Formats: sequence, structure tokens, C-alpha cells
Amino acid sequence: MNATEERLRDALKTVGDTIGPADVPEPRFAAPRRRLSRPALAVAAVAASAAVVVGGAALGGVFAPSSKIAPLASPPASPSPSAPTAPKITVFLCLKTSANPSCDGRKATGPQKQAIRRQLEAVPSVRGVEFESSTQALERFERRFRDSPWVDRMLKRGDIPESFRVTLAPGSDGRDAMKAVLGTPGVDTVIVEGR
Amino acid sequence: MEIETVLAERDGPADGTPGDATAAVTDLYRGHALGLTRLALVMVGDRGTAEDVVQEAFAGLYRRWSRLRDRESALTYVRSAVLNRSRTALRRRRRPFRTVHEAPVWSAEAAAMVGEDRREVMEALHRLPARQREALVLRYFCDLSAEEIADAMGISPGTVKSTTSRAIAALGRILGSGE
Repeated sequence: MNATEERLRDALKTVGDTIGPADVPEPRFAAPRRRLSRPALAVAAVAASAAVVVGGAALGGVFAPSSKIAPLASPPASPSPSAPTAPKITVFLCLKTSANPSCDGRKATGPQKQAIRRQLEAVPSVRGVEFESSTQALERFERRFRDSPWVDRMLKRGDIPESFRVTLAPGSDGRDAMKAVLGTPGVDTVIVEGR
Repeated sequence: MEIETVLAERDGPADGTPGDATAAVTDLYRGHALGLTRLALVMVGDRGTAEDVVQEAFAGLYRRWSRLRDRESALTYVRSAVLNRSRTALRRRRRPFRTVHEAPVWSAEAAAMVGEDRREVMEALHRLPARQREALVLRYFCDLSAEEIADAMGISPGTVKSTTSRAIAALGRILGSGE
């Protein structure tokens, strides 16, 4: 390599390094979709919510708590033999990357989370509400998929939603709790566990 | 290899839905936005324009996602988009009264301290024709192979080699004449 090449390499690297990893803004590429006309937007919304249901189901399958892992709070003793385990739902919160239009490309905020918790706790059939942070979810996820390297790779990119894990009264199908929070700002999707 | 697997997994049965494109393009953005913003910066000189160039390039990728085959072609697409948009941004500045832009980060008045010698090199680089400058930056900054440069610039690998050697000679002459 001659002197000119060396000087060029050095100059380019120095100039390039004036931008660090922390300077890279969040992606804005999905934004132009909002410019669609109204009827198109309505169709897109229906399509998107269908995608969310599919995505939520897939996500639920992956994120559903394994029965092998003891919950943080001991579950209430089940009085009825017909309901051996307490029914549960999981409320996934919005991420910046959520496709759900009601998320508006924003992560669920603190006040939104508090409001969602209050709404859940006000439902008569709800027995307990536990918050799971994305870090906790990642840890659980990594334990479960330790032998699948591609899963690991995907998750290091930070697409894991926070969630509320909701324990319901025995016999409840979770519909009332689901209705209470679906469409609330900050809620991406709700799934019923064990189905 | 892992990334392809991730993209394939995410595509799943609902192939081509907006959610898949968003996740896949976001993945690519997380992996390459920094390098591409730096590429745009050495091309256009200021960070604001560089960031816009990269965002627009990814917006284009997002719109085209369903027509791209794999991660390699996506990366090639977004790399050429960054080059083309950088060139457009520079051309726009030459027209009078169009835009006010910041001084390049390597200029004497900029806050970033890159030093006199590097400033000279960057100014010399920007006196070269656009094609020559692009070939040099892809080779000596992005460390791409002749084939990859050819893909990004839409020319043959042979032309890449001749353009690069002519460009480095021209750069040497500009820098030499200043001494």
C-alpha cells in the first residue's frame, strides 16, 4: 500500500469515526405507510390486525411460560378439581417495531403501563397481575432456546416485548380481561395461555 | 448465515406481510445503519444530510422488500441507494439558493477535530469525479471486494479496478501538488 492509500484510509476512518453507535437514530422507514388514503388505510388496518393475531399466536407459543418454571408468586390453591391450573392471559405491550397500528410505532410508556395494570386489576375475574420486563423475558427465552443459535441472534436485536401476565379466577375464559385492555394505548396483543 | 435463517423463520406462512418487512428491515438497519451513515458522511460531509440519506435508503428498501431475494441483495440495494442519494444531495447543493447545509466535518471551522493532514485528503477526495470518489471510498473505507463495489456502483469488476487505480493516482497528484 502506498502513502496516498494509507493517508486516504486514515482520513476516511477518522471522519467516519466522528459518528458513534449511539448517534444512529431510530429507523423511520415504516413511516410512509401512514400517508395512505383513508379507504386504503382501513384495509391496511384490517390486514395489520390480522397479521398481529398471527404474530401474536406465534409469539405466544414462544413466550408462553413453561410450566417447569415456577412462577414468582405461588399460584392460589385451586379449590375446584375441574380447573387444575388457574387460567392465564398475557398482555403484550407495544414495541417500537410493533406492526399493530394502535401502537403507532412507539414503545408503551410508563403511564400507559400503569393505566393498563389498573384496568386489568379492576376486572372481577382477575386474581393477579405480574409485569415481565423485556430483560426478564429475554432471560427466560434464552434458557428455553439455549440450543438454537439463530433464536439467540434474533433476540440480541432487542425485539422482545414487555408483558403483563394475568392470573384469572378458576373457570374464567379470560374474555372480560381481554376486552378490558384490547385497544388500550400501549397494548399490542393479548393471548390466552394454554390453548 | 444466522441472519438468513432469522429472515426465513420470520417470513413463515404469512409471507410478505408488512410486519415481516418491518422486522426484517429493522434487523438490517440495526446491523448496518452505523456503517452506512459513516459512508454517507464521508460522501456528503455533514451528519444531518448523512442521516437523511440513510433513512431514505432504508425507506426504499422497505418499499421494495417483497421483490428482494435475500439479505445480500438487500444490502447491495441499500448500499447503492446511499451512494446515489449522497450524489443527489451534493448535486443539489451546487444549485444556488437551494439549501443551507453545515460545513463538512473535516473543514477547519467544524467542531470535529480531524487534523490538517486529513482535511487535505478529504478535500482532495472531493475534487475527484463522483465515480472515482465512490470507488475509493468503497475500497478503502468499506473494504469491499472489486465484485461488491461493482454491484454497488452498477459497473463491471474490471471497470472498478481501472477506476480505482486512476483515482488513487489522481488523488496522489492533487495531494503532491499542494506540498
